Amino acid sequence: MDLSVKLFGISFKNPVWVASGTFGYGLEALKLYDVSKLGAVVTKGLSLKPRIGNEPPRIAETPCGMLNSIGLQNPGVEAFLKEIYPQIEHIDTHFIANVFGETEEEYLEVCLALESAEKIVAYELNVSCPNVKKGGLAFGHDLKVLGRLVNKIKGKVKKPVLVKLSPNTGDVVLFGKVCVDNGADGLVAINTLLGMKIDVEKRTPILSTVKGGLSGPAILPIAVRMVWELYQALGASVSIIGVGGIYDVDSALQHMLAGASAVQVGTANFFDPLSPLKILEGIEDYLRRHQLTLKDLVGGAHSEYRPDRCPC
Amino acid sequence: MRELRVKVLKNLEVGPQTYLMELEFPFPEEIKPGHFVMLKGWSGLDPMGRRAFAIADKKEDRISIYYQVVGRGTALMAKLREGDSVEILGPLGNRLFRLDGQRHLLLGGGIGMPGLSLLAKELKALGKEVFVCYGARSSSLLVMKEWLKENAIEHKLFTDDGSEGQRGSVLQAQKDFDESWVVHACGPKKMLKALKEMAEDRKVYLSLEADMACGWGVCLGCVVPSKNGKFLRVCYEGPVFPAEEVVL
Ligand SMILES: Cc1cc2nc3c(=O)[nH]c(=O)nc-3n(C[C@H](O)[C@H](O)[C@H](O)COP(=O)(O)OP(=O)(O)OC[C@H]3O[C@@H](n4cnc5c(N)ncnc54)[C@H](O)[C@@H]3O)c2cc1C
Ligand SMILES: Cc1cc2nc3c(=O)[nH]c(=O)nc-3n(C[C@H](O)[C@H](O)[C@H](O)COP(=O)(O)O)c2cc1C
Ligand code: FES
Repeated sequence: MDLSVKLFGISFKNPVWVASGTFGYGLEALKLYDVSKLGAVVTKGLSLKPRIGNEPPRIAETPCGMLNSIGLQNPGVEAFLKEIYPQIEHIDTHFIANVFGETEEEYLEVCLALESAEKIVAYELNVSCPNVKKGGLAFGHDLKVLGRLVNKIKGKVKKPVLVKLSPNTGDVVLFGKVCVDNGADGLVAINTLLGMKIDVEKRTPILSTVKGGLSGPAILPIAVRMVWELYQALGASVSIIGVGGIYDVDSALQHMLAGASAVQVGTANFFDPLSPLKILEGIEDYLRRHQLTLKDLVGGAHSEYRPDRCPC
Repeated sequence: MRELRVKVLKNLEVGPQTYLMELEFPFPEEIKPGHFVMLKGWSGLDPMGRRAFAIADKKEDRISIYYQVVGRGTALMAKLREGDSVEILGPLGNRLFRLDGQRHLLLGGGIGMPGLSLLAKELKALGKEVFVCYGARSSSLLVMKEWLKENAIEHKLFTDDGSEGQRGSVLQAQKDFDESWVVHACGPKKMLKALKEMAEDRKVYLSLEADMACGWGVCLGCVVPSKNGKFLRVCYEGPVFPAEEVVL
């Protein structure tokens, strides 16, 4: 079955991708399965300079989810291009670079450094990381600052620019709209929700950073709701990529029916490494069973458009 | 690295809150001393993650792990019966124990011993000199002492309360072995930290533990600081590290 999707002018094999920070740069998984089966791999966040990340403890399990405060540990874009990029070049699927900066200029420089790396087909601006002191949330939580950032990058780069939205702002649509108004080619929703966990025996927070980002199945309903709202308000003008709590075909379908043109599997890679492939098979199976196409799925749960009432 | 659903062949209580589990694993040639698996022996999403366990031994088509019940995941594992199935991912770990050198001293603290047993067995099979010092809080927690006897591994036992073997820590023994012995250790972080400090001038390898979400290198959750100010993934750059390379 043809599951290919064309988004922002790029043709992807299928709509099942893996989320930033949950799949490294795609190399570790090669020992487990054929990574080229994925629709795309979104890299761990890349910054201009290397970042060592936060002190451990960096992770804590929570009911049906987990908290993390990795702090964007990465070797920096230069080392990525020199040491990692040559190893991913032969993997036959698209890569999307998750980009992070402490300043507008840094975001731009990372993107520009990647312009001639063919394997990278788009940028995903991470303006929503709750685990770093500078940058990240500062961009994702201020409409003006966010608009200016997107505008600046869009004006200077050739590849499509996606913006990964924060769920911690109150109104995801306002922020999505500012991105679209400034030329963003896609919206990715959502990043992690700010949370915390306390060790009751020690009577202290568990994470070294006290607070961290909540991810996993626990956040699925919130992510689906936000994708839904974005699709309702902006679906006609921009592609939406759904991420948050996806771990099986049902949760992936919920994202798509809410309005996602493609989905990213995140935390599920940790506890069920083959889940992206299972989801891919599950979607095929679902489409066959209901005699639908991928197009019917996207936003298919909105009342304006019901596949069962579709005249075609 | 394989992702498998396998059968539980045995799940025996071998000490207080301590179990021996044997699992189907048809690829024994892939397992080397130092390897571990991520295991989930319950359904549903809570607890969500797999738990890490050292591969303590392997036979033709099976592996064994020893585990202590410390929380919800291990409590659920203790309920498993023969014939139930579990999900495992493994073998995991890229930097493993080194088998070079003629004389090897293995220091196992508590539930760290299963992290060393396969090493002892393989070294012996290679005709090397192996001596194991195995310690625990008290006698009933020395759950691998029978295994050591069965496999004819030369060893000495230690307990904190003196209920069996020598009273005190395995670390005392280290001084009795000169520098021709390579030291390999696995156990509580406190023990490894103390060992690192008292044995600065000799070759010491430590098998480390850390909270792990993935076990295969992609979450960056399990890191340990290195001496040159970076963070290394215990699951991927380890779990075995030369003592001088890490800051504990
Ligand atoms: C490479 C590696 C090898 C291991 N080998 C063994 C083994 O052979 N036998 C064995 O019994 N245990 C081993 N462990 C520890 C084991 O993974 C934990 O005890 C287990 O995850 C606890 O799960 P739980 O759900 O029962 O406890 P949880 O409810 O998750 O935790 C209960 C308590 O255990 C602590 N804990 C949780 N995970 C870990 C961890 N990974 N390391 C240390 N403390 C932890 C928590 O901080 C908490 O205090 C190993 C860990 C690693 C990383
Ligand atoms: C350990 C970890 C690291 C992450 N690192 C990044 C990152 O570098 N950049 C980013 O944009 N998102 C990062 N994320 C967020 C995920 O890409 C995803 O948006 C979020 O986890 C929600 O999806 P999930 O519930 O499927 O995990 C990270 C998440 C986790 C759990
Ligand atoms: S446990 Fe995920 S990187 Fe080590």
